[in-house]
Amino acid sequence: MEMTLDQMEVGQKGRIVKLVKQGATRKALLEMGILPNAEVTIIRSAPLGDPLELLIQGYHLSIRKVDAQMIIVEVLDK
Amino acid sequence: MKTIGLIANPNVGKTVIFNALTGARQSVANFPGVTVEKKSGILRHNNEEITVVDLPGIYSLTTSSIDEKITRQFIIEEKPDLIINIIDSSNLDRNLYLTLQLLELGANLLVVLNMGDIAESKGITIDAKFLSNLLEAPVIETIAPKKKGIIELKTAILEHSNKKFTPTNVSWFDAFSSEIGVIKESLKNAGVTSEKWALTWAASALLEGDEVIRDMLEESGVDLKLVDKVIDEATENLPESDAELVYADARYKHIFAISKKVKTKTMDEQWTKTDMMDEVLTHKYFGIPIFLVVFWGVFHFVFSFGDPFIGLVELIFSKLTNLIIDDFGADPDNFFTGLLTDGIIGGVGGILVFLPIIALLFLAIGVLEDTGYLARVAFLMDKIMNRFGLNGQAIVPMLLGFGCNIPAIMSTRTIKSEKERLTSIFVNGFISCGARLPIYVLIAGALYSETEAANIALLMYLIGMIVAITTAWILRKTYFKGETSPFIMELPPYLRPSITASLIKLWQRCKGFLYKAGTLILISAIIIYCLNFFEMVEPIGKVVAILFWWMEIEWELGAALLFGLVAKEVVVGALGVLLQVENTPDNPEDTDLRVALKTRLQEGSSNVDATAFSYMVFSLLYVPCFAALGAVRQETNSWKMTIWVTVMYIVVAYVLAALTMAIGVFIF
Ligand SMILES: Nc1nc2c(ncn2[C@@H]2O[C@H](COP(=O)(O)OP(=O)(O)OP(=O)(O)O)[C@@H](O)[C@H]2O)c(=O)[nH]1
Ligand SMILES: [Mg+2]
Repeated sequence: MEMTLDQMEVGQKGRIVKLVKQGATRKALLEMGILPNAEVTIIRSAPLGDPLELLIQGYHLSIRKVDAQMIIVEVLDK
Repeated sequence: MKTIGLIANPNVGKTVIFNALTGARQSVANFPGVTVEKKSGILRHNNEEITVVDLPGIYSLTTSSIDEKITRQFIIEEKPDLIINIIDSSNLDRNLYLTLQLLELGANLLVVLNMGDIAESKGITIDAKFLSNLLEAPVIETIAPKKKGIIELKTAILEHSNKKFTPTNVSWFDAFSSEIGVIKESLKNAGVTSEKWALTWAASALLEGDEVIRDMLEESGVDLKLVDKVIDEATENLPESDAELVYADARYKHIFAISKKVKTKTMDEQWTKTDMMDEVLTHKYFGIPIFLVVFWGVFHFVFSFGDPFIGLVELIFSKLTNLIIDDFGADPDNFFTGLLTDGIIGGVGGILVFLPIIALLFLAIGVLEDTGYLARVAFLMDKIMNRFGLNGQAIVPMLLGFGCNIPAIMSTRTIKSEKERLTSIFVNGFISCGARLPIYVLIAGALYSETEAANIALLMYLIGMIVAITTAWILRKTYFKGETSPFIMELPPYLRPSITASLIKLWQRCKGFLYKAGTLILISAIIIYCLNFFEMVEPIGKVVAILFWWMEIEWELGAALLFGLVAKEVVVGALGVLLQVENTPDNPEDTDLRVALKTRLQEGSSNVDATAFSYMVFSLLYVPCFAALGAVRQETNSWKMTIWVTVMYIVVAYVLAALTMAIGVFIF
């Protein structure tokens, strides 16, 4: 099942399908290892709901939900 | 002399290694973005000398914030003889991204696998030899804080900085080889020479749409029109994806191939200590309350442990005064005895007695920096900060400002949006620094009990935060309207602060304070004493008191505010000089500055509580110190903005102090 990263639930694991929307933010995300085929797990969201904490390429990265919206993921079994 | 640069991701231990190589004492902490400027030192080993340069961390050669640009500028313009690329072994894959980019540049590379202990705790081992073969670059393993591998590193540096470099085979980089060839040609035609090493890299950077390299080329007078046409043709038939994605993908594919061969993981995704701590510290309901408790706890720690020491230092100075009076006699009209006792001991001693609490504050902030908690605070506060037009990362300069505004103002270099950065610089002056603490302790301590005084000081810090954030909000709606930056932040693992590292950091910061006491504050105290001896301070102070008529202060307090423009310590220093003039040895009670201050406050004001609060609020908000204004000038690179900021500080302080007075009269 495909959805955007911000729609995934805490604890869920997914595989990145693609990043829509061009620009500096996308480039930064690509370089940080958020790129197609990478596996990503939502560790938690901050107390006020935003930003998210992700596990990606074996390290912890925090990004905002608005930026997570540009990341399309395929949910893997949990 | 040969030059080597430390180029690596943020927070991998560059500065620890720099300090170990050069014997420097640059600031180290556990959050990304600690080093924000270029710092050089000398490495001496086996009778050779080499210049080592520590730089801000970067995730890739695409750079946007000011600190990152410094690093990139260094690589491209200073062409170091050797680049030390430090890798966090517990996070090999992501770190290798920059390594590959450096190899693409054709740099002479020495790879350091640092943080071996953290990798081990996660069950990760890396075959350094194999990695060295695959990268075609030497690899050294270190655990920097334990000095493990440092000698080997020094030897390797000497060996490889002398070596003539033969470029590595950068096969992963071939995706657009024919296009790159064409772009290179057109670059050459446009007058870019291969002496600027890495023509291939420049071509591919342009293909990737790198704005910074564009600007740099254009600034050096290169006409990119024809080059652009070639690039457009090259990228025209890339379906959906684009050069940027193709490159990132190619690099990561190559990284995975390497890491599969060299990395073994004995434990599966494991529940680490950091995960456990984050469950609590960033908990949905408890996360923010815990932050507030930590904040409150720090100040209570500072006051409850610091207060007894203040008494001790006070005792030392009063003994010293008595000694001088015993030796020279207490003649109030003797210029020199007065200069020693009232001027120097009163002024410099008056501020030095607060060293214990300032030191404890520095210690607490230093320890917090080392744990990794600050990155979590940014994570917790991002949404709130966003409401006020700032990024979560902007909370870090604010917290650093509790210690000193100058490094805090510099640390805003990591903020990517220029308008957010300028806003953060502007409002940082409202953040109460360590030098303001003595003012609250002195004034609140003169009027109230110890616990009350501690709470009042905490309140002042809170007011500073609130004014800063509100001002930021207003600025972002008006003068600095527009662009925001995304929040993309690595959350490093929690580390246990080492006692020696914390003490070294504490000493570095205290040394700064002591130096200031021995220079700026000493000179101010002498000047104030001399002016006062010739009865020139009173009229000036009276003018200030008239300007602040609503505050109902005596001239000494007015004069102290004026002198305090130079630095906040001088407010207390000036009060120390001016209020102790009537000391006599038969009246030892009076040697206590607090008693003298209380008397003076009562003599001037019809509502002492309101006056005291109003005075503290003004002291908190008006101009941190000349040096901080200097930092504002440096970081904004604009006199106009610096004047603007100064006016803003004084106006806001004046208005809010008056408001405090009005409310105070109403309440008390
Ligand atoms: N356990 C462990 N901690 C380390 C090691 N090397 C560095 N550290 C810690 O990692 C943190 C970051 O170190 P720094 O030297 O400030 O890192 P940096 O690369 O200079 O970081 P920036 O200046 O932000 O780019 C500090 O808390 C260090 O004490 C290591 O080998 N093992
Ligand atoms: Mg550093």
